[in-house]
Amino acid sequence: MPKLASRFLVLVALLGSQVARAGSITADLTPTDGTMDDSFVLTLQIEGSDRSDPVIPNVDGLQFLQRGVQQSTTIINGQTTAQLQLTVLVVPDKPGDYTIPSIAATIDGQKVATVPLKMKVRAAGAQPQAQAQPKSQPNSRSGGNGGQGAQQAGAETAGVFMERDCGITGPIYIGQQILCTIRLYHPNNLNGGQRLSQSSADFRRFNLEGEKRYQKVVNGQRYSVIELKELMVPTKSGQLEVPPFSIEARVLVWNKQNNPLDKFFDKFGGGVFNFDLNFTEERNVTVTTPSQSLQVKPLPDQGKPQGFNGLVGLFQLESNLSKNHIAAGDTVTITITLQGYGLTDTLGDIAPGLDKFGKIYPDKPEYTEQVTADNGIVSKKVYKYALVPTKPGTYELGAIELPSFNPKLNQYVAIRTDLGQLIVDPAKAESQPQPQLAADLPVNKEEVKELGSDLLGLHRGVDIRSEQTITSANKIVLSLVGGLPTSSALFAFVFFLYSNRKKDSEAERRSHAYRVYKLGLPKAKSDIDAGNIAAALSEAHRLLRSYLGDRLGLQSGALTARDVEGATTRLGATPEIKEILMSLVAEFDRLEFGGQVPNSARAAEILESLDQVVKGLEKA
Amino acid sequence: MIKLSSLLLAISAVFASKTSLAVEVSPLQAEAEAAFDKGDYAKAVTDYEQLVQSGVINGHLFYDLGIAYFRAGKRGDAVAAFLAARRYLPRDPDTAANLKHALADVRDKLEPEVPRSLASKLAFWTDSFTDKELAWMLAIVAGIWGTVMTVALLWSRLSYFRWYVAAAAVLPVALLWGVSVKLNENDRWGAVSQAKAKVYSGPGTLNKVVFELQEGAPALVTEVAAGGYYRIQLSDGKKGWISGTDLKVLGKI
Repeated sequence: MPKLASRFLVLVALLGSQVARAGSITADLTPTDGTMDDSFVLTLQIEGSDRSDPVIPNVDGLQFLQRGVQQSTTIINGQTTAQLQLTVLVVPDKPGDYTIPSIAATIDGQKVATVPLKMKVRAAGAQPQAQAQPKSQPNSRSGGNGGQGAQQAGAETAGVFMERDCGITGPIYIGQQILCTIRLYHPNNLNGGQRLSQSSADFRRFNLEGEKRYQKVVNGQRYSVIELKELMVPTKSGQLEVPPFSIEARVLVWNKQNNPLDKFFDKFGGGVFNFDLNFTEERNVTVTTPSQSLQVKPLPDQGKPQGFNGLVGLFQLESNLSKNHIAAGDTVTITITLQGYGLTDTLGDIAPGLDKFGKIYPDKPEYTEQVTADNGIVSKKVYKYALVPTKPGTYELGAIELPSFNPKLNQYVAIRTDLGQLIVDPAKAESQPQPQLAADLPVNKEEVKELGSDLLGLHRGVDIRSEQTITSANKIVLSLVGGLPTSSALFAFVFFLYSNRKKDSEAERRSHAYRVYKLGLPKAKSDIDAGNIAAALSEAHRLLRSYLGDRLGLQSGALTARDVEGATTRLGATPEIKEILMSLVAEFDRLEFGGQVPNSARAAEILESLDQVVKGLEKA
Repeated sequence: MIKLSSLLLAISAVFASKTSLAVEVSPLQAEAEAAFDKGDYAKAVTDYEQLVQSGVINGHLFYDLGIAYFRAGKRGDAVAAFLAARRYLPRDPDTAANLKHALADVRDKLEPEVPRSLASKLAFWTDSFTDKELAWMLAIVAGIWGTVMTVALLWSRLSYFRWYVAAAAVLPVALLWGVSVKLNENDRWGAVSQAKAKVYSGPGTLNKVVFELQEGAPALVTEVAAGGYYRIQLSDGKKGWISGTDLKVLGKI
């Protein structure tokens, strides 16, 4: 059978840091006695930076398959140490006794080698001498009250097992803290896992953060150990079954039977057709600590003080007043702090007698706890009471005394705190001088005190079906009621504006007529002065027509004597003005149609008459 | 002006007195009241809810439903019902007292009011009226003013009166403004009906949770999104989106 594994060289990425310590190499094989179904794991530990590659020599009948490389560097007091761990799966071809020779390497200039390792491989299904059954599993240090040691969980755990050590040396009382160490042993084939939570009615359980990892040789076999801590508090007395601690672990298992090619060629005797293929598989196994029972004692009756409320541990009590001197009706806050090693979360009210000093309003207590491996459970509970004294005076608030059981001393102890003195002055309102009241008047009137409040009654006798929103019908009626009159007002307003605008337009036209007349009259007069009589009278004629057109709303082009008479009558002109106007119109018509041009005196008279008519019509 | 003011007061008095007139109650209402009197608050709640589901929007119904909710131990629903009753019975002292009583048990320190805008502060007088009452007041005042103004404009003998009537337009205009402010600011209040409710930064659970409310916390609904989410505003100014299953809102949304 060609041993491909014999050519297996482990190539390592070397660390470049300075190494001050001498190099070393160690080899460990687990298990050394097993069957063809078992996984034989060879672990090489190499320390040192300047090193050659370790070479695993050929061994007839064995294959070496590298499964993992771990490197780490530690610096202690300035000295650097590089560590390398190689995990190699050793696969036997057939049952028999094998020897793995020394594995050599040159580290920091020195040649170092491991000791040879022997291994015995039995046929599949055969019972090894010291099977996975507690071959010689470590026993837990059980307490003197019936605790049992750790025990392997079974062959299916693939060499992984757990033990629990609670280190119990004396009696355990109800409420006492028990710190247990859980150790998980595995032959370097652990690929991960998770803690399974298991509740218990008899114990309160607290998992602690952090874990330790180290290696340990048990009965000649080297195991990697993961150490965990768990803290438990029994909640009742009697012979109690400690709840198991379980981990679901993922372990690597060599499963040669799953190799179809090997199985096929084994029928032909193997030989040159043997294949070195990797047929490991990851398997989930549940590893559990062995069952263990504990005798939990009830707290002793002897010396149990009155008012003991189940507090177990070592505690101290402190108190504080927010003010020592207040007025009646004011508030003072009393803070009482209980803290120590042990649980205080289930503890009730610790200061029930404070109500004799006034009204007392307790706050919800604040509880905190911290669980560590060094101190166990450290808890703190803060009680706050708001005290409102109603009467003035000097009050000795007294002391709060709290009994607890100390399991280390095995006796009851009392812790106490003195609340101190509180001085209460009369209320501010009372301290002011009161006016003298007449003897027949009622005195010391008091506000009616409200003792409680409640809802007012139903609205009975009211139709609760009537619609109180704006319905479509409402909208129609609302539009008619409000919209119609408002719209009509708007229309009326538009009409009002239109009619006013028309009147304004007429007034503007009248004003325009007079302005045109006033501007044109001087030109006509200057024409007379210049002897240009015809032009002067023609201009005067144009001015009259323009004025009458604008003033009377007549078209000047169609101005006839009848139009003029009608318009002046409507306008309310005087008869004299009307007569002069009519004669002027006739005079201008005569001149228009070829009449003789008068002299300048007559022309001036005509202009004078024109001016008289215009002014008369303006007054109309 | 004085006469118109008197008229306005008279109109509001009519609306106020209308609510106190005794009328014949429906069988379902009588049934609910009987169940309430027997202490069967769950039955009373069912009957009142049946009326609400039939589409009735009435402040007295919400008020009675709120009391039934409260007695049945549904504190959040009770607050929501009293908030709805306040919307339709703004001058009712019973509603105000019961709302205060129901809110006393609410763990979140919130008030059923939100910070008001300047316009809303100026329109404070509309707080005492419902939308419907304001609409009727506006219609009646506008109707009277429009009629008088039309006559004054068309009848030249009343020309001296036109300016007085025109000045009186301030009354319907003020009413119109008040109504528009009230309708804009809305009064859709609801309350958390679950023991605890998450409020998100947007409508839907994929958004970030911005705060949590506890049962009975009052919230103003400012927007309604598809998917049954309400955008809410709290009295302390916080805003967010809450599922319609967590916030109960009664009345018109």
